[in-house]
Amino acid sequence: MKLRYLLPLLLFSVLVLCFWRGLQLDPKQLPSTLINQPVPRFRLVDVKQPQLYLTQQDLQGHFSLLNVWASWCLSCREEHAQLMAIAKDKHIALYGLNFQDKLANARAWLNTYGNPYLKTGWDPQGQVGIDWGVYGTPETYLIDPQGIIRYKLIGPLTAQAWQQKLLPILRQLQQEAKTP
Amino acid sequence: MKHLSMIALGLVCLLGLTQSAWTLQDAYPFANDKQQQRFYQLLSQLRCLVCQNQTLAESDVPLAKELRQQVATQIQQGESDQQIHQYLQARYGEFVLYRPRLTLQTGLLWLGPFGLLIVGLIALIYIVRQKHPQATPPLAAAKHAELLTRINALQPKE
Repeated sequence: MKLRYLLPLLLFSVLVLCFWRGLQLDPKQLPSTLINQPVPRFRLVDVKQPQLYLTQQDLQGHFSLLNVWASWCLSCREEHAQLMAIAKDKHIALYGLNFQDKLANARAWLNTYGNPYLKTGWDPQGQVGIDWGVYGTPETYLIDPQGIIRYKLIGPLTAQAWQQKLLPILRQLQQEAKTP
Repeated sequence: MKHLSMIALGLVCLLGLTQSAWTLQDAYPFANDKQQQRFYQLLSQLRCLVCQNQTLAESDVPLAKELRQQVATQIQQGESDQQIHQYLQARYGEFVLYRPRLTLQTGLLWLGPFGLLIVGLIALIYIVRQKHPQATPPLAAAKHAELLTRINALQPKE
């Protein structure tokens, strides 16, 4: 078989490989520019207790999760059970960022479904969310005790996502923290 | 009648364009026209991250609205185009630029089509040449006479 005749088939195969790979990539999964960066400075009123604030200080000194959610976000209900489980087991400090939402709706949502968060910052315009590079809900950030963002999960924090993505990274970071 | 319906279709499309221009103009009062122009230009260079095939000028999602507000505020505060690009890139990465910059990583994206075009042209020339080989050069006079004699010799005598 002369190479000349095989050439179109070869080229076609290369194209097929490119398209196959391309179709596997999810354009919604944008890599975060904030990985290994310190958390942005912010100050938001707490949704349930208006005399309290959520600031970047709350994310220092311990491992924490910042979960971006909204009452209009349907996928957020998918992850709610897992968030309640995380809050109950006290694996990690869980904070919320209520993104582009009405205060009354956010409060009603927490009252109806339950509040897993230690505190939830109210970000009605989404200004703080933009500083975090939020482009959709739900998203969850894993922050280490030094206040550095170490991981961003895009999509609902389901039991699977927790077991397979966040928990291993958390364990690894905790291990690294122990060995100097 | 055909021309009339074409014109009507054209007008309807234009109407669609003016609609989006109206919305933007209402919401963001600028100090001068130059700022407004910069605003529209910047918006067409930035991607909406939710509806990723639309620019910030076109998209209607809440995130796009908030980002438009951000860009407008920054223009009014006197930030340069470069600074606004950097502000968004620091938060959302390279993808937020609707027109990718020419870097090593995007080199294949930009130059790939031209490369393929050149390869295609070379292949085309190669194939055409194979089918139509160059014409043989004309015979010298002596050879031509000899050929005629031989041809005549082959013909049956009348």
